[in-house]
Amino acid sequence: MQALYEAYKDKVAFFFVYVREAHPVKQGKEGGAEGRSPKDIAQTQSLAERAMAATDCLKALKVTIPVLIDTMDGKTEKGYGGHPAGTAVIDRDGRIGFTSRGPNGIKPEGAEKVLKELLANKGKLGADVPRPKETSRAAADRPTKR
Amino acid sequence: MRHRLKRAELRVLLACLAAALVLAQVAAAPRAPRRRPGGRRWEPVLTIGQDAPDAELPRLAFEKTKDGGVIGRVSNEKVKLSSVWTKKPVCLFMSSYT
Repeated sequence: MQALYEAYKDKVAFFFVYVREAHPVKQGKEGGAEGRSPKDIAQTQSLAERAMAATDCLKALKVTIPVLIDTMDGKTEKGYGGHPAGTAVIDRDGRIGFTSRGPNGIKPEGAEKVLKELLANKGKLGADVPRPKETSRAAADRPTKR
Repeated sequence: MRHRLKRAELRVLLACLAAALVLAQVAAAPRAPRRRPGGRRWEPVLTIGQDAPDAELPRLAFEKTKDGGVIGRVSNEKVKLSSVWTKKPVCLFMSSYT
């Protein structure tokens, strides 16, 4: 992940979106106490708590990718399938070029392959990639029936 | 002397050929990934070519503490993904510490 960022950071906008904890411990069982790991984090209850957890995460992973904090209602994790972990590549038309999710959802190799193709095509998906009939934005914009 | 296939031998040969065809089709069919009992399948939320959902998210900013450490806080600066991807492709990694 960090290697991909270092290699393409001038041509691609990278963001690490910090989402809710995948395996939180119970409140009051957080790390720091005797016998507990610093990775023992209770589910974050506010953006400030999430920012602190993200800081610890970055320090541990030695990652320098710009970090965005997901909203407390999990807008990004739900929209992109970013929980417990995920990767998404978006082209300059705002279309998905690559996506993965799951416990092993961080897939720098898959993302790099698509990024190479995008950069060879002015940052856009090829004409051979069809646009699905109903897209998420179209679905969101559609008025709901009452 | 040429050996002529008897009708019974021909039937056996045809049956073997049919069985081989069926086995080849079963072997070539795509298989669902194995998962442990009770395990969860992580179906993708988005498909390739689909419009990406837009989001406006706050950045994580860093401040130095008095003891020389670094602490993260939620910045007032927000990033709107749609305003970024019009300039260059975007790569998102989503995860948490745990």
